[in-house]
Amino acid sequence: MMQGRRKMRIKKYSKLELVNLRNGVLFALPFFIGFICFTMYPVISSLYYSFCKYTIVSTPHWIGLKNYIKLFTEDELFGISLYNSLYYAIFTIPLTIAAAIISALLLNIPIKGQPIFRTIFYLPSITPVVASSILWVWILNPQYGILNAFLEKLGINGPGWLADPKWSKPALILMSLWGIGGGIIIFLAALQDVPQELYESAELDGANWWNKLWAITIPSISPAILFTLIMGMIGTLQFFAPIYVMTNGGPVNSTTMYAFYLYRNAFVYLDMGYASSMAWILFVIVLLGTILMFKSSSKWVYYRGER
Amino acid sequence: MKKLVSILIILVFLVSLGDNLALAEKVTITYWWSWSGPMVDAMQKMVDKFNKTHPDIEVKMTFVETGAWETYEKLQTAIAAGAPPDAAHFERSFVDQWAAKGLFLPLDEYLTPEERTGKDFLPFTWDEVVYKGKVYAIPLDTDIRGLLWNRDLFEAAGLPDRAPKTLAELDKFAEKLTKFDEKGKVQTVGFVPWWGNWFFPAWSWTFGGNIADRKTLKITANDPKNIQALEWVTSYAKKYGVQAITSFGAGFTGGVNNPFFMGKEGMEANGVWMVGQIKRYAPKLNYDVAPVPHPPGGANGTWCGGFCNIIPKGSKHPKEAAEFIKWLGQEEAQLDVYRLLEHIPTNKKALDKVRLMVDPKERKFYAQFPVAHGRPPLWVRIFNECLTVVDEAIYGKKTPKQALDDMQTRLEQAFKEFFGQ
Repeated sequence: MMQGRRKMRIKKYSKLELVNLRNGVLFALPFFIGFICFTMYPVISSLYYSFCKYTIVSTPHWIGLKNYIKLFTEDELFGISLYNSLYYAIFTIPLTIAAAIISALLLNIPIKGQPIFRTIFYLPSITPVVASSILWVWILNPQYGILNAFLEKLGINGPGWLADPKWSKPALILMSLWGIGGGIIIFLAALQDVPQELYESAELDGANWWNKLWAITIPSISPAILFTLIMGMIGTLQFFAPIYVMTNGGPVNSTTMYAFYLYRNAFVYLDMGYASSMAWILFVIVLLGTILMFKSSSKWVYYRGER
Repeated sequence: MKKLVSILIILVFLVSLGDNLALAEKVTITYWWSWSGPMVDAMQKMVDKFNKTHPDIEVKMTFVETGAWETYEKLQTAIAAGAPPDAAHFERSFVDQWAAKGLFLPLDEYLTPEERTGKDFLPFTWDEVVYKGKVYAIPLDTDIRGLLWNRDLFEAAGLPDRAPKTLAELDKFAEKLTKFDEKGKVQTVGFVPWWGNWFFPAWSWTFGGNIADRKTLKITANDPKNIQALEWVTSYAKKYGVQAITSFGAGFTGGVNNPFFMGKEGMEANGVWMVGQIKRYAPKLNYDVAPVPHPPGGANGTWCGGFCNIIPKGSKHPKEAAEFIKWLGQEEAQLDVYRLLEHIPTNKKALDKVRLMVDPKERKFYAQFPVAHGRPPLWVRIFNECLTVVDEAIYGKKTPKQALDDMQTRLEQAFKEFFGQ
């Protein structure tokens, strides 16, 4: 059997196919070279550096598991930053996905001016991060900000937001809703693929809007939900720029998130080895999270045409 | 065809020979400058002056941006890649940290024994460029801090027309100056110890303490005097409410948007650059300048920042680069630091001349130079740790003693890793 298959394979490659194979490999080569040099090599090196005392110019000095031991046993801020990031991720991901789905459903209603509404909802996503962060500093301003002015109209005494260690993370979570434009586009595209005949037959059976949403729409766009869930996890755990601009990790380290602390160790404290071990811990967390989501996806993600 | 080729080869040879001859005459060095905006043109003028007076060296200046808080990622990667500039502009307080990591070349072999003493420079600026007995940089500029007080607000609060002379008086004045509205929100604040540009290490000096010693690298973060200082800082949070103050303060995002400029803050501990900024953005502000007072047994805690010039490891022309950065530290160039960059020179002779040229209010800041402090070693670490410690104390997460004890442990660890002892 084995021999037969091998024979067949050799026979199978015609001259044209061999030429195509060569051309294909040649065309793909630039990518592979780039990927190996600029992605694989740094990634593998950082794994090695994570076991070293490494300060960029000096030769890395192997110290075994010391970086990891220090992270888990001595570094108080490592735990705080990990907690802050997980807190942010756990609240931000479901919230932004729900908001993106709701917005996409609304923007999918065929009304006059639909493209204009879609543009408006997407607009914040193309605002540069630094500009929108500074804008949000003002929105969240406890004394003069528009948010607290609005809450005051409702008779609520608004919190200190970024000035209050208890409210600084919720403030950033709230701010994440500003960037749901990308998610909306994904869900809008997914909504176009929901087969109309399913709605029609459901209507014949007397299904209302709510039934249709839960029984048809959500299952049909569940692959898009899985995608945004994974991308959301990666994105939120690497949350960095707005902290850099808005809070510098304060007050009382309440917004010192993982990627921010990692950056500080690498470029401010010049401890690349330590920062590399932090990066690998984050990688393992993201990897486990992704595996978990993929494993669970067979229970809740529905691919059409699959039995 | 053959002829053409041989002619070409000869031509190429001649051109490259000419190049080599030119190179032997003139060395081109690259210089990275890190201040943006009008500072680029101002510095270019200084570089042009150097090039004119030094026919054998050509300095090519490039503006290379740093991250916020002077994180020199690009310089770091350039050094790692073995292609750094020949000289670079650098935050002086990081010199020990980068020198300890072997990122800079020591300058000793390019300095005369006399130059190695640094006697031309303000002593605390020279202390910052020496690491383990070797010189790693030449100071460029400095600054200094003091207490700015708003005379109009003092008058309105029924206070005398003078700055507080003791710390107790500062507390008393601050209380009289602080005004709340009917909802309990701060309208005007008297003084906030953690605002402005003073920071906890300076309060530690004010109370007679110290966070870490540059010469011995000994850490004294939880010294009783520091605990006393942090307790005093925390007393403001307790007295006025940390939420009330931070909510009020969040309205002022820094820079021009400063409560002191707007007459919303009675006193602020800040830097000499405020004089120029107030002239530009709040010219009508009726204010004056004084040293920040200290308690009995303490001292004037004012401190000075500033930048320097370094030669990275891997520089191709360290000798010429050293000549350039030394030139920038000489009296004439240092006068240009004031005239063109509008910063304070670190060369003592230049400073004595500049002292006579500046605004009388700036001169009041300058008067503190003999007692001013340089920054402690591993400054960026101490600075960040101190921000955390003050936050922990004013928000009541830890007692001042607990916060400082924890900082002591963390700093000891960091120093051990950095300086290896």
